[in-house]
Amino acid sequence: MNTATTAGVFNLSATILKVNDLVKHFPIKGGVFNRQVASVRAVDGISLAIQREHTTSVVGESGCGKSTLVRLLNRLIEPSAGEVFYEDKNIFLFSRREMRAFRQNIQMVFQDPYSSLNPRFSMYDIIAEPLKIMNQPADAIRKRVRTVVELVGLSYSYRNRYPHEFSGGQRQRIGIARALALNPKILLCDEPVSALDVSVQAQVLNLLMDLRDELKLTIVFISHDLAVVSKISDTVTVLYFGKLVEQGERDDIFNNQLHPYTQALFSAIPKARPDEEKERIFLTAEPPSYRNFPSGCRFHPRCSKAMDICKKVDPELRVPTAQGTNSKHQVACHLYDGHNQQ
Amino acid sequence: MVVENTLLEVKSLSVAFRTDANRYVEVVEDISFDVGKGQCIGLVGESGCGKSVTSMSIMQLLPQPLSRMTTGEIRFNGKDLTKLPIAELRALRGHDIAMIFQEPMTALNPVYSVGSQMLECFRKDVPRPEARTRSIELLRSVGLSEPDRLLNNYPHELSGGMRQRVMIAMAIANNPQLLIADEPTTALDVTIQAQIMELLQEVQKSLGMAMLLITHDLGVVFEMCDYVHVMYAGKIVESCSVQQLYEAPSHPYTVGLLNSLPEINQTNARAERLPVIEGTVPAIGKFPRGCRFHNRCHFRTDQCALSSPPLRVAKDGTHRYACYHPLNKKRTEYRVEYSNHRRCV
Repeated sequence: MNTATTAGVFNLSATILKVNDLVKHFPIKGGVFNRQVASVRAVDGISLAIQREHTTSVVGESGCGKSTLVRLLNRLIEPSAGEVFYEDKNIFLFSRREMRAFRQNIQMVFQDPYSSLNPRFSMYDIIAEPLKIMNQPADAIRKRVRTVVELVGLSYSYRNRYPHEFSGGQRQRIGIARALALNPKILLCDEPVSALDVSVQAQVLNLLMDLRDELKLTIVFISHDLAVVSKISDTVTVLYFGKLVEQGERDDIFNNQLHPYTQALFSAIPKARPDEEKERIFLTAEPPSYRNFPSGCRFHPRCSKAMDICKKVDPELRVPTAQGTNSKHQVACHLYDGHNQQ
Repeated sequence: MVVENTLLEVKSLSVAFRTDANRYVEVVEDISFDVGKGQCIGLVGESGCGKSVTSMSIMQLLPQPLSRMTTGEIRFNGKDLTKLPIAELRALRGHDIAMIFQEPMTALNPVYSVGSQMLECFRKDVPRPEARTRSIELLRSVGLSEPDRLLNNYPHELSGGMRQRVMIAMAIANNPQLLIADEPTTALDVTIQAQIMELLQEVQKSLGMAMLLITHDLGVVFEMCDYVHVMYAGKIVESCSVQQLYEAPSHPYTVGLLNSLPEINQTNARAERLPVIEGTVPAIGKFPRGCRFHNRCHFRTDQCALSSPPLRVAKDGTHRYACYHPLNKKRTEYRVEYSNHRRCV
C-alpha cells in the first residue's frame, strides 16, 4: 500500500499532462434539415503522458489531428469524450477561476507569425496583454516585458514598433515572448518554425532549445518536418488520422520505425545528401476520407503489409515483445501482435 | 557552365517593380543562366530573393505595368522571348514551355471541371473526342485512378496531391521542351511530395524534357537537380553542381544556409545548437550596398561593403560564385563561424 502510494506520487511528478482516451469529433452537417450526416474524427481515442521538462513532438500529415490535439490540451475546444489531467486534476472540470490559473501555466506559440499578432498592437502591448489580463500592477508588467523581450533576443528599444515593422523571425520571437510572459510551465508550439525561412528557422529552433533548458520548460512540439523534430525532441508521437500509431523515445523512433506508416513517412523525407540512396515506400491509395472511413486499422487500405485481421480489428497501442519489457516504444499494429506468423 | 544544346538562355536579366510614387525597386538584378535540353536546373533561395519573379519573367507573365524588365534577354531556342509578339508568345506558352505552380488549388479554376480545364490545353484543331481520350491517357500517366470519372470532378473534390497531379498532366499535355516548376511540392505532405518528385522525374526522363525547378527546399534540390543556382537578395551568388553544393560551396551565404539545415542523425540526446546565419534577409528595396550579404557575413572585409563582387568562375569551369573571399574548405569545417548568440539583429 505504502509503496504503491510512493510510486503514484513519483508518477505524478514526472507526468505533467496526462491524456486519457481523448476524443474530438466534429459534426458534418448536410442533407435535408441540415442533419448531421457524418463526423470528422479529428482526435479519436488518444492516450498520452507528457513528461515534465521533456519535449514531446507530435508528428503526422495534414488532417491527422495534431492541431486539434493541442487545442484540447489547453482547453481551447471541448472534447467529445475523454480527459486531460494537469497535475492530477481534470482540466475539463475546471471552474472559470481554476481555468485562469491553469492558463498561466500553459501557453501557446502559433505557426503563422503574420496572423497571430494583432497588427494594431505595438510589441509592448502584445507582450503585456497576458499580464494585464492577469491584473498585474503596471510596474511589474513593465519589468516583466523587458525581461522576456531580452530573453528572446530582441531589443527592448523596439517596444513601440508594430508587427509589420518586424521580419518573420522577429515576429515569431515576439510570439514566443508573449507566451513566456506569464512564466508558464508548458509551452504548446504548433508548427512554430514551418512558416520561416531556413536560415531563420535555425535561429528560432536554437532559441527554443535554449529557453527549454534555461526555464525548464515542458514543450509539446507539433511539426511535419522530421529533421526539425529530430533536433528538438525527447519523445516522438506519430499520429495517423486521429489515432496514435507509434510513440517512443526520440532515438527509438529515429533508429527503428515499427509501424508501416511511420516507415513510409520516414522514407518520404527528401534526401539529406545528393548521393544518398533512398528506398521509398510509396503509399498507393489516397488518404482516407471521412465519408468512407476504413474499418479495423485505419491505415490498412494504404498498407503494403495489411493482413485479414487489419480490416476487422483496430490494433491497440502496446510495447512489442521484441522490444523488451523496459522499452517505452509503443506501436499500434497487428504485425507486432504475433499475427504475422499466420 | 558549358551547356551543349542550350534550350533556354537568360542573359543579365533585371526586373524592377513599381512602388507608390512611381519609384521602381529592383527585385532581380543581372541574372544569367542557361538550361540545356533534358537538364534539371534548380533555382534556390529564401523568400524574397527573386526566384519566382525570375520564373515569371521567363514566361513573360510579370504583371504589367506594375513591373518592367530593365535589362536582359531571354532566349528560348534562339528566339528572344522579350521581343516576341504576343501571338507567338501565346503559341509558345503551354506548348513548348509549361509551368506548374505551388498552390494547385489557386492555379486550377474552381468553377470549371477538371475535364474542361484539361481540354483547354489542346490546340483548337485537335478534335474534342481525341482531346478527351488524350486527357484520360494523361491523367492515367500521372498515376490517377478512374481518370474518366475524374474529368467530371471539380478541383475542390480532389486532394492536394491529386490536384498537383492534374496540374502536371495539364503541363505535359503538349510534350513541352521546358517545364518550369515553381515550388511544386511545398504545399504537400512529405509522403505526397515524394510521389510527386518521383512522378516529375519519370515524366522528365520519358519526354526528354528540361526542367527549371524553383524551390527553397534543399532536400528537393538534392533529389531532383543536376546543377543549382543559389539566389540571395535578387542576385545569383553561387552556381554549382548539387554535389559541390552539398560538400564545399564557396559563398559564405551558401555555406551558412546548408549548415543551418537540421540533419536527421541517428543519436542526439539533447541536441547541440544549430549553426546559423546571423540577422535576417534584407527586405526588397533595402538591399545593402556592395555585396548584399556583407552585413550578415562573418568573413566580410571593407571591400565587401564598397563594391558588389562579380560572378567568378572557379578553376573547374562549372562552379561560379560572387564573393571576394570564397571559402575553400568543406562546409562542415565552418561551424564555429556560424554559431550564434541569442541576439536578433
